[in-house]
Amino acid sequence: MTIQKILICDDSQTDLANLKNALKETQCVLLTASDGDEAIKKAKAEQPDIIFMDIVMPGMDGYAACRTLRDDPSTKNIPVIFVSSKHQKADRVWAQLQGAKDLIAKPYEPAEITAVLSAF
Amino acid sequence: MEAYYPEISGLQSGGLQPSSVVQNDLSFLENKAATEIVLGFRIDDLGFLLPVSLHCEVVERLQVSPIPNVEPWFSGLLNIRGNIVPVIDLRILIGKADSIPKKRYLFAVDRGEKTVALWIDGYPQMLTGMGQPLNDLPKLPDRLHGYVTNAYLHEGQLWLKLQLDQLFKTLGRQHVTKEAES
Repeated sequence: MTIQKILICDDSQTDLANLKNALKETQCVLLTASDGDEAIKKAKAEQPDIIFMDIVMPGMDGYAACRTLRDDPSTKNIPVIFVSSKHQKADRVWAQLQGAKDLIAKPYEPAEITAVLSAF
Repeated sequence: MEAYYPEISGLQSGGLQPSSVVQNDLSFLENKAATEIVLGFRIDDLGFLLPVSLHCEVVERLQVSPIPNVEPWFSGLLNIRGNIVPVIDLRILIGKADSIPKKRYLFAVDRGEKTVALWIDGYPQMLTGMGQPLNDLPKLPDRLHGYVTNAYLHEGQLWLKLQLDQLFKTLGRQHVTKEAES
């Protein structure tokens, strides 16, 4: 699968900027959302190839958003990668149980983000 | 449905806040197709179901601060990102304290001031295909009487739709009453 469109979701503008920076060399179309609700709406409307999403956010958090995406036929096949400071073992298992493909721990190196893309 | 525990006049609320999502949306099973996802967690031989839209997380490496002179099922308080969260041990509450597993997880349900953390066995689960509820409720621990609205048999295991908010309200009232009496 060629990644052409990426949705990134984080309530922190700084973290959004960091993710954009890490992904700028991919030349993909970058969409942004600031909470889970907005991410779901954009995922349904824009059908991104992959979603990078924070976990702890106001409104709908990343876990609930991931479950909702998995539960919707139009978005269930879009891979979700969590990018979060919540990265203990329980967080990783819980993320996986909810259908996330990976969990990248903050702070991260930009190469970790692009390395994930090469797996798809 | 009649509450198992009587209302206590003069006490409008207890120490535990009910979950708005659990409180308002217990129709999630009936409204969703049998193949859709629900959340579940287990305590001993009982499983409990929650709406998939509910905010919840597994927390670890956080210290539960015990509180003196409280009910045994009230394990204490937990600080989750600045929110002080009551920790409830449902296993003690339902009378299964003699078989507490060595490894348990804290499962925080809902968010902000409404968060309650529960000790659960194993990780929570994502369940699909719950099917139709059982015609009759099975024999339940006394403490759960009046708070279970439906039961499901899924892959040989019993799952209960529990009115957590109502249960927590009652527990809160009882706790406040005992404090007032002491």
